[in-house]
Amino acid sequence: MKTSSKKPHDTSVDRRGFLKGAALGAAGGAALLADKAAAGAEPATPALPAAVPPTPAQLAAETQALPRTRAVEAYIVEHPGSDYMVDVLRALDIEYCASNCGSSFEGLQESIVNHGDNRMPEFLTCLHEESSVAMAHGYAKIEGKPMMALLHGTIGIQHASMAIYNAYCDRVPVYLIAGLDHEGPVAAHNATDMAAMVRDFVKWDHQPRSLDEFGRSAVRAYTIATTPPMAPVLVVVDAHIQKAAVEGNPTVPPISKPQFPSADLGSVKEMARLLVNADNPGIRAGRAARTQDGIDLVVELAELLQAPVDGGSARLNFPSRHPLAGTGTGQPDVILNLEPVSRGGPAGAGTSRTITISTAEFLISSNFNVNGDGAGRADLLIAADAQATLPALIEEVKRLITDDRKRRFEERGARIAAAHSERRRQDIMNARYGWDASPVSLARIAAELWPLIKDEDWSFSSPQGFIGGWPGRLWDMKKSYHAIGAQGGGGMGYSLPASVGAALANKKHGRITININGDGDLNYAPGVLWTAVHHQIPLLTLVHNNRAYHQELMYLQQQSAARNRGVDRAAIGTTITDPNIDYAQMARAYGMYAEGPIENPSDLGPALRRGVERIKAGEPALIDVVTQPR
Amino acid sequence: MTRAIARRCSRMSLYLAPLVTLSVILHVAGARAESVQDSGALRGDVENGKALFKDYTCYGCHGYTGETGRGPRLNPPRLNQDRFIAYLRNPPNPRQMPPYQQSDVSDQKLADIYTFLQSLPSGSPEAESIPVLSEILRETPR
Ligand code: HEC
Ligand SMILES: Cc1ncc(C[n+]2csc(CCOP(=O)(O)OP(=O)(O)O)c2C)c(N)n1
Ligand SMILES: [Mg+2]
Repeated sequence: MKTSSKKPHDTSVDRRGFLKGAALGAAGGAALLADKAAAGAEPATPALPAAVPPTPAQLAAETQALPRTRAVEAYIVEHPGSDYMVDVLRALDIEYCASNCGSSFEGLQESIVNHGDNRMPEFLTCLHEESSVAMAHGYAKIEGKPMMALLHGTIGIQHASMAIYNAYCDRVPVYLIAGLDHEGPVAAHNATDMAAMVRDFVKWDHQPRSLDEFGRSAVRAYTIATTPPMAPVLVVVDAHIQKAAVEGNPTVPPISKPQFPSADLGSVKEMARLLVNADNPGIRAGRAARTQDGIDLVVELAELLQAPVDGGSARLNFPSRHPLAGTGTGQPDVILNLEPVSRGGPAGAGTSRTITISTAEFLISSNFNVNGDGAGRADLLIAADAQATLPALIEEVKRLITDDRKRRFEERGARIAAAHSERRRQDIMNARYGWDASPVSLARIAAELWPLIKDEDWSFSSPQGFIGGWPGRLWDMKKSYHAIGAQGGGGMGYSLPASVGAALANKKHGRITININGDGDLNYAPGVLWTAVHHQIPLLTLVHNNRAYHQELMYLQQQSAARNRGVDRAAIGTTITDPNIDYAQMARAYGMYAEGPIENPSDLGPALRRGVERIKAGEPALIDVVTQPR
Repeated sequence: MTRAIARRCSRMSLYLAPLVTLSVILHVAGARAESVQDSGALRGDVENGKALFKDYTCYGCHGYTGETGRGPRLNPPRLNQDRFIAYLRNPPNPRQMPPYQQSDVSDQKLADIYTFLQSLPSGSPEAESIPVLSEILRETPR
């Protein structure tokens, strides 16, 4: 058996790799849920050979075999099925396998570290399955392709389930493999139908009966996960198939690259006609831009029409400082919804037409209310992928714009730009409120961070809903990785692990990652802090430490008011005080550089500077900032 | 409500009389709830107000210094004391701003909160005097 003498810090993407990535940074171009394969730009099959040459240890074992008793001969399996599984995963370009270890997949784990030499995929040590899956969620939103989370039996799947649910709601591909071992040590870790408990929120699952079938389902799972609407998939691998010797010489099945579903020509023409003839059209984007291309296409359409774009907060769909960013002026007469997050319906009185392009109707769950009311009410509802539809729509719009319309559009554009610029000015002015207050204001955190990161290649990985949206208001966000939205299913405990996953993806591009993390969110499964240290993932986490589940505190206060009683009791069950949690100490316990608690706003800037220096040097850091509630 | 009026009348200090007249006039145009309120200014206690601002979780939506959060800024309070109290009893949008109607939430307690808010220094310097904000403002044009 091969043993690695390397220290943990050297086993992961190392510091040299990080710096090399930095040099390639600009060209790296990480994409949000890339459809490069479908666009034909890049094959889904990686350049790496599917079959891994034997390692020196294996060669030695084979060429200089020692005499064996019959019992030992029967015991040793030199070419186990799981070696082939690793070959398939490598052909699928799966870089990482996030996992909390378990005997149901010990065969596959052994193949990853020995047959695959712990590269492609590299095994990432996770302390909770929810962390594994949420890491994969964050990684996919940066890298545009899935990574793998490997789950142990019924129990691992259950721990993973909320994170799977979030990714499903967020339309993010996660490649899940779960082990099943009927002969394993604990019978309760097996089920007749392993995937049943998450079937409502994975797009596809399969339990192959043979190694050959594993190859086919592994490839099929990948294709399904990465075809919009993207979503997690689950392949259950029987321990017996992992451990039995490979028979024959199985090859990796061909990997198909489907065209993504786009609107039909008739719908495209109708949409273009409505948009070009509109007096005051508005574009609203939800999960529209899967990649940088998606952002560029939304920009092109908006500029052609001189229409405002409300980019929402689920993805970066539109550059934050583009003059057309925002809701524009007046009531829109035509609204174009691009992959609305939930309700994409009409804006209300005065809106004559609503067009919606959405894959929501393809991603149904018979039990869970994943898409709310689906694509929402619309006069023209097009079941298609918005990004895949935009090129045709743009061409058609170009064809219909006359010189006269163009002049009108330009006047409109000037009005929208003026409104945008006034709103931006207001946002910046408003950041001054509570600037010198203690606890620290959220606007100040975002404002003080900006000069430290703006000349770097940076990525912001956490949701903005609970932090006043300040990064989006103050920072120049224009790349798909500048913001990757929220949980998807609103499940807390997302921000920290998803940020570690995002930072992992950003690392090879030499990009630094910033996470402003609620204290409540952080406490669900903080062990991922250790994973970030162990694998040297450069992530700066700022704890938005309002010492509360503040969202719930506000709800409870309102509920008491609604019943006219106990208006001084809302803190019960909603605050995280007595004792206060020392997050810096917690991070240090996991081996991470940390500072805080910072209560005095004038201590913030220097601490942020030191934190950013740390991540630029390739290591993670945490700063605990005691904050205003919102 | 009657009890509250009685309590407030008894606490009305003479030297505030001119202010009272002004508040009465203001209240004529106000909501029904305001018009039944008497209009004397209560003397508030800053420390008590500070504790109540926390216990009633005003800070939760208005920030610890009344300058941040979901609700409007309260530092300094925009309404006078009477209107402030009337607003808290019957806010126009109870789904946004919870009504504080409970009987043990006395006018005096709300006056304490009011006084606390009045006592707060501003933690909000002009944006122009904050270098990072001025810098971001300059960056804005694309
Ligand atoms: C759950 C959130 C919440 C809590 C708790 C809360 N407020 Fe408010 N408050 C709001 C919101 C939101 C508004 C704005 C309502 C509107 O625009 O209709 C508001 C408005 C106000 C106003 C009117 C301000 C103005 O200038 O128009 C005052 C005064 C006020 N709140 C005081 C308080 C005090 C004092 C407390 C505690 C006793 C408190 N609020 C608790 C959310 C809250
Ligand atoms: C798994 C899960 N449990 C409970 C909730 C309910 N919930 C919604 S917001 C919230 C508070 C989260 O606290 P924190 O991250 O500190 O954010 P804050 O509201 O304090 O800014 C909770 C518990 C949830 N969304 N997900
Ligand atoms: Mg919190």
